[in-house]
Amino acid sequence: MASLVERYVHQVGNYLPQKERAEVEAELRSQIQDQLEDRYGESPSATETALVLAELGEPRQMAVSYSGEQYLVGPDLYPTMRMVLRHGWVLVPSIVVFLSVFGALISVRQTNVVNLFFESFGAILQATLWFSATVVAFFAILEHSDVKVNKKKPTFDPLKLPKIDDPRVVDRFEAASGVAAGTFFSLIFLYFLRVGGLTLTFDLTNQVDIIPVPIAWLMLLIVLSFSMNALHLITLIRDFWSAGFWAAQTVFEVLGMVCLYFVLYKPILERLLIANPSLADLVWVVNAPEIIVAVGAIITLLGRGSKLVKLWNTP
Amino acid sequence: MTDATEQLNALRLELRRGVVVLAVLSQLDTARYGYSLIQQLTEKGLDIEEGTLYPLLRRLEKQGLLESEWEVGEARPRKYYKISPLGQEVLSTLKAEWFEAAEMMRKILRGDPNG
Repeated sequence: MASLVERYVHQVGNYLPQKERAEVEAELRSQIQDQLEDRYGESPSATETALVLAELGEPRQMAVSYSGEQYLVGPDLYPTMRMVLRHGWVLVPSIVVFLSVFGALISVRQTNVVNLFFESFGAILQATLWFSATVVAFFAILEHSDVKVNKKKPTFDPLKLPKIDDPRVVDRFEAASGVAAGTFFSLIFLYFLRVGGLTLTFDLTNQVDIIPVPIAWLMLLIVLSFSMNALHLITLIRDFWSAGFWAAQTVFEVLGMVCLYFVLYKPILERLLIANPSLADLVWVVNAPEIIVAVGAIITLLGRGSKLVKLWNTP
Repeated sequence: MTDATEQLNALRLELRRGVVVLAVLSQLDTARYGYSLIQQLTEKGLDIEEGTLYPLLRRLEKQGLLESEWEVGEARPRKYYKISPLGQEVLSTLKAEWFEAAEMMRKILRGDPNG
């Protein structure tokens, strides 16, 4: 486990520009060690180290001092702004996806799933940028006005500093984009369930060229999509991954791949072989659905397995 | 904390800000590392927080008023700061201005009729 000093220095570094990080970290580390040695000798206890770090102040405050106190939103308001942005980055994409899909359903204009995907993606980018800019502008105005908020700051406790490379840390971008993509695909699968199969036409009034799929597998896929979304949302709120949640997410993903085999890959291949019977001679085409699922499952299990082991070993 | 105390603290901080720069520059005619400088200043009666001094040293270095060098021959690497030629020039000007301002303030605050 990295020492408390390392955790503090690492946190300060996180708030600094890349080009200055290594130098400031080295300097700060050496200065803290000088101070510790002078006060408590060569082997200070965790409590003694925490005392010295508490005197130095919050890592963010320290980083701000290094950057010359020129900030748009200061250390007092920054945590609140970050909290608002984090929640918004999760909510805005989900709302935009929902509105896009719902809007397409009730629109008289005919569209298809591919167009809808790109339109939703563009709308997410636009809405998230607007949201972020508005929030930052609001907090910047608040910062430079005389209004005082959050007067009572919680006392900084160095013993609670996050660990370096903690496997429980949530990649919020990944989780938020997971929620947005999950919402999109859950709604699309619901639409497939409503029309009884796969189709590229997104129009309830004119259903043509539908590829039938096994409904039980499609329903399981929908349940899995919503479950994964729920897991992502709860994780975002709790702000840490637990071994149980990570294992559940991995199982859902692998099961989801199996569902996709029955709901997507196999029906599409069958339709392809009907349209082009000559393709049946190509072994890799005939076995493509199995290969995709097997490779996907192996990559998922390997990629997520190492983190699962780390999570399991984290107290 | 009352508003008056808060205001007083803010004013005190503002008053000390310029003094700290002057004090730091004045003590770095010989190279020192951060913590030894804090001790030196404390001995002379100026209490300065580590969280204030360490970033200040770096800022003064960026402004060209200090020079620094990593000393790696010791038990662990330490960064030593020393006043630069430009810093020397700035220090002598600031010192003259400080004495002038101190004299002026003494007259103002004590109500000297010749002030």
